Amino acid sequence: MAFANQPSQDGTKLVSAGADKQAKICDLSSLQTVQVAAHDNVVRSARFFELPNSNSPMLVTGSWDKTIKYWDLRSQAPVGSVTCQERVYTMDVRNSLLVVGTADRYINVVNLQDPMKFYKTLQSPLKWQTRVVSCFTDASGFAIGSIEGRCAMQYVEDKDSRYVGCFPGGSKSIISNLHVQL
Amino acid sequence: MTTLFGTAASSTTTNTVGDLKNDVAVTSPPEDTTSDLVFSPTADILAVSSWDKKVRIYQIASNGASEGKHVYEHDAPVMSVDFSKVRCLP
Repeated sequence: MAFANQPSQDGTKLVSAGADKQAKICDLSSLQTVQVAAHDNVVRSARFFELPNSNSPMLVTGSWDKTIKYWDLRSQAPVGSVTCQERVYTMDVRNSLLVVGTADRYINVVNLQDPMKFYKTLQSPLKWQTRVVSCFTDASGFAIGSIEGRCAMQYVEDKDSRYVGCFPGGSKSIISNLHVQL
Repeated sequence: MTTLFGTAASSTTTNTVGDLKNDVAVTSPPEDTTSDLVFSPTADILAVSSWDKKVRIYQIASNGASEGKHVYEHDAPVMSVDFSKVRCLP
């Protein structure tokens, strides 16, 4: 394999999170699957990330048990747990930026170099339930999608969101996934 | 220029909403709602999680054809998938 010299930062592992209150990692070369995370309720989202100056990938999981947990993939217990205001509905990671969207429209911004506290907490500028958050590719901000079919662009260091719009087509439907390409 | 997913740099401004004629469906798709999907950052591999409790991993060819590569199961609906990432240079 072309990327065999890179330590697992090459898309060789897949994480999946489920309503069975756990997350599993599948190794794409051996096709072996192991449980790597556990929560007290549905695990709604899982993302890999890597801390600067570290060679080992880590995992963050967000759950309806209102916590996000960090896992280093070596031990059964989480290396850290942070309690959110409400159930976690969506998360995304880019570089050191972690964005957590919960019920009641809370959005928590975490700097993964200081992962045990919220760098910033805001209420979604959208009127309705947050369905998805997606980081900008340069980690300067993130997009928020709601169940009403609207989308907001939010810079981390800006007080106000720059743009709130509807997707073309006009139909007010749930935004399930967003991908931001700057 | 015609690409797999339609005509690029077209000068016409026709409404493309609902036009599926150039879409390619995956073979053996999930049997219930798809909850999340993600492409591998390094290979033409697509992973799809579904409410049917399964995670499906497809190899995608350049013409859009898909081939099942692996499937594994949770004890309940799967909500989210993510690939380990390529290291970002500082």
